[in-house]
Amino acid sequence: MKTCYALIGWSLPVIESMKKSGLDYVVVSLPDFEGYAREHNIPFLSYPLKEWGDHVNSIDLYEKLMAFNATVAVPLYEETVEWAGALNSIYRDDPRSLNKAFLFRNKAMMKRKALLAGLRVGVFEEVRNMQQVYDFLDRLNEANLQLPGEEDAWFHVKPFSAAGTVGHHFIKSREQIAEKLSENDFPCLVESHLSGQEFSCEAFIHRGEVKFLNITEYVKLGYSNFIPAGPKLESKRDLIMKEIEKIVKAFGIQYGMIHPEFFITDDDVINFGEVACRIPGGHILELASEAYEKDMLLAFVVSHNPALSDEELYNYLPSPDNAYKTYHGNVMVYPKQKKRIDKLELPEELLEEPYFVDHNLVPPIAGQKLDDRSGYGNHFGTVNFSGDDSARMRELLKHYQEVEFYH
Amino acid sequence: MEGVIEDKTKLFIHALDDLKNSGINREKYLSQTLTVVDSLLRSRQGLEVLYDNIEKIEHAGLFRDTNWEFADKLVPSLVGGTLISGFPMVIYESLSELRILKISQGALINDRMNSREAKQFISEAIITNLSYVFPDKLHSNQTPPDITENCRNRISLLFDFIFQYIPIDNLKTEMLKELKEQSAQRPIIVDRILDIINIVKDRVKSGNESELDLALCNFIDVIHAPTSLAREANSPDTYKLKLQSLSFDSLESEAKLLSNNMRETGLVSEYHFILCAFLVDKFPELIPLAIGLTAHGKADYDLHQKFIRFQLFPQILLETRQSLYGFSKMLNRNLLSRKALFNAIRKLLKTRLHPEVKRRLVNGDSASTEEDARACLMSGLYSVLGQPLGVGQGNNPTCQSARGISMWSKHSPGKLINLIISVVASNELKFRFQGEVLHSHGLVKENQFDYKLDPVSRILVPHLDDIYGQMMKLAQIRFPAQDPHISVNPAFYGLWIQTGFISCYNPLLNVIQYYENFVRTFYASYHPKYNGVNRLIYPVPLGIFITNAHGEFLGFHAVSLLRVQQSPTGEYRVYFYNPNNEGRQNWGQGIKTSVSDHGEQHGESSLLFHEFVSRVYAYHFNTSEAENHLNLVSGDEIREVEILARQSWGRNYFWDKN
Repeated sequence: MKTCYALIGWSLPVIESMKKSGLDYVVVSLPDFEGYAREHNIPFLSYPLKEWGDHVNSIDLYEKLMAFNATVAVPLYEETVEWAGALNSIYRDDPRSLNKAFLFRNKAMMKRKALLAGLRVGVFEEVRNMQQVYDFLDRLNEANLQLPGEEDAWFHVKPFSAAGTVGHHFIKSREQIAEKLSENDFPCLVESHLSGQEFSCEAFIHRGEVKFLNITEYVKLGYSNFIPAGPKLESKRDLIMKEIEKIVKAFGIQYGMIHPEFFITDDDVINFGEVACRIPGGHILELASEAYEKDMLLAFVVSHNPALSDEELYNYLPSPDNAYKTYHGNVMVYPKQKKRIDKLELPEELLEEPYFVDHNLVPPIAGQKLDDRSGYGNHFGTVNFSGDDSARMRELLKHYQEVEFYH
Repeated sequence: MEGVIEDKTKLFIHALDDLKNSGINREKYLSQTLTVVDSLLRSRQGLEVLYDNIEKIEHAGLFRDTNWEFADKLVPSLVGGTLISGFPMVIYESLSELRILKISQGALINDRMNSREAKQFISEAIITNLSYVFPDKLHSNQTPPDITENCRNRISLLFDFIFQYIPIDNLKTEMLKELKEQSAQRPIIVDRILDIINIVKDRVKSGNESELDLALCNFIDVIHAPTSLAREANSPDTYKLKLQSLSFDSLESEAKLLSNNMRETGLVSEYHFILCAFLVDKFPELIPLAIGLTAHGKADYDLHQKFIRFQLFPQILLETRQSLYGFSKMLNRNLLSRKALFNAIRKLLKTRLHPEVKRRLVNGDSASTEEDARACLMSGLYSVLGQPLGVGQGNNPTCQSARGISMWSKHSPGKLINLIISVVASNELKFRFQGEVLHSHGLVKENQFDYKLDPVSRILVPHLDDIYGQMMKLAQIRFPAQDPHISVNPAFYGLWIQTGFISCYNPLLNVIQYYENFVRTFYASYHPKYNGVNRLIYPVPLGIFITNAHGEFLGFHAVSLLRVQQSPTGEYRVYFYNPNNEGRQNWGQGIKTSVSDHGEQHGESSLLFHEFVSRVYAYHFNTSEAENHLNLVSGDEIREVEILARQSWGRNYFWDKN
């Protein structure tokens, strides 16, 4: 009998990959998507995927999925990680699958686990109100032996469970605490700032082993990244691999893909940021598909399947010894000024740029007014590049994240 | 370069195939396609590739679910504005032009548009968007549309490509027609006419002595070489010098020629202005001839010569010379002999300009002086008083205010000047309504308000629109079940407006009601065959359903009924004022408003009576007079109107059985 994959959430690129692959699948998602699914012959189970909690009943979903013969659950976005974990607990007869999912969903728990496993993390605390943030800063400054008049220590504020950079505040002084935070941000995690070059990894794991490791070089977190990483970062692959293996072991990960973010300093110290086990943002898997000429979304899905043999799995993964020379990167575009924007115009030099591939920027609604928000918010689309020189790629991404496309 | 185009072409064909075969995730393939089309649109070779493959583009479904899907739904006059509205609109619009161009050449079959219609679309698109097509050929007073260099280049490329297939020389007939019909409407703002004249002068070859070429040359000459002396001088400065040594007889003949030009076209050349400025100073007795005064106008001139020569005329500057036409028409109306008006104009001349009003008058040009702003204001006043039907609303949804200015100019000029004085002095208007005094704020969203209006409208409309809006709100609160126009129209426009009011639309139930009676009352009130051959005393403000060329409902609009009369060919026509800047409109079902050749006076639009009635939804009338004539109206005529109504805007509404 063919394996049927239950895809929890919604992602058109993944669905398209599944269609092309000929594998069996069913999409479990909110009733809103049912019409589209029916129109395009997408096997679909409409389900109110509520926020995870004691009130939800995964057995009910399990029973409904029996009609599709589903045996593997795959989370498509952050909020479906527990649902997939709960289903896989049943499919793999491993009650801890769900607990492992919780690790990915609570950043404080995640950090503590990483710390226990010997990863290098910042000083962090769970805080419940503004005063605790001030106290945290005091202790950080104290530890840094701050003298009067010296700068405050930098730190980050993050919600316990939110994807990527959503709700993230970077605080660089005492004054900014009151400016940037509000009562709605609590409870949350505060963590000292880690320095170094940012990057993420996409590690494909099967039977507890890393079968393929991609390194994504970030030019600016939340704005731009490219794949494969440039030569300098690639040369640290072995070091990085060791850190990944620590996570896999500590978190007890058996199947699927993990997406940790790290910072590496000039003297090769690797700091752990956080880790997720869903499809990463920034269109990373799409870029990886281009770079490795393999459908990495499909690889993401099948790596969740315990029934695959190593040979079968390798068919879906890029060969690790091949030298991939073309870099694929993108810039996520946000309008720069906080003012009315009327139209979208592409600069001529972008269209003439040999590295430019395409873009999916959306035009503003006539006279759209931009919100004044400190988080990253929603971007207006992505501009894609590809080319053979990683330095040039970095330069282009850096340049175009500053260009104003909206007028 | 060749290699680059080939690469792009390959990418493009590949993207189209992907788009065509995409089931889900169509958005991704769509953005890939739009990206490569965007880059192809920026070179001549790229345009060729797109033109050659336009059928493939259609088949790949690029136009699907967009505004460009059906060629026959497109509006030529909107092309320019769409081309500058950024990605992805500019992509679709450009491709749409290429598609229609190919249809026009008989190289592409489209089941909604044939090659003749396509050709007509393209020529109309060119003629109605000249300021976008030739941004550098605009006459000097006009600022080109606000577009980037980048955008300007791509528009030029596109039209240069189109001109390869439809040379601009082939559009002479259309250009002449456009010039004639535009000038027949005698707008206050003549930018469009001057643009066409300049483009014909610079871009269109004329060599032969055909009637068409001569007629076009005549238009060019009106502006650029209106007399043989002007032709000889070849520049307004030299002409000015030559005037000094001219004999009285020669001056008289210049005056006659130039005023004839103005009377026939409504256009004022620099030469004409220079001559008048010279005569005012040196030979004031020739002014009536030079500005084309009638016996009435001349009488007024003689009576107020000093005031006119030393106070009114100097307010016309070279830059505002076009207002000489309105000035002449204003004097011919004998307005100065009405004591109230004479006093009002004198007061306006002395009123200090509120800083905000000054800013609006000079379009924010901080280098302008108070005198410049006043000259602009007074010139604008002459235009509005001389050409009541030349007032237009620009690109603003303010038809009620434009209609008001036009109506007051014609029937209550004293009230109009008083409103102007109030705004000029305090940047505020006050109207009494339902016992309360309403104050206007006159704030406009700066980049949403189109200031391309005559100077009077520029300062009045923001206030009038505000007052009108406040009145509508109050009326709706006080009498929610009643159409607010009943009380707002008389309070806003003037108490001459009849107390009878009828609307076929019931907003509470959202249905069309008592339509038969609605049409019958209109015929009984306004059709000379039924109303006892009575002419209108005052214009009637009425509300109409605007429909597009397919008879589909677009929205509501305000016009005023001016007169109902038999045309030169004997049919009953409605002559009305449309505050829209373009009187020639196609409302579908063969209903096309005409502006000339059917007995229209300058600035009037006209339609056959029943065609007009089929678009009306509300009007004022005299109840006691109408009652006497109701039974005379023939049922056949009413049915004819009802069929037109039901098959056009009527499809958007429920119709009550009554």
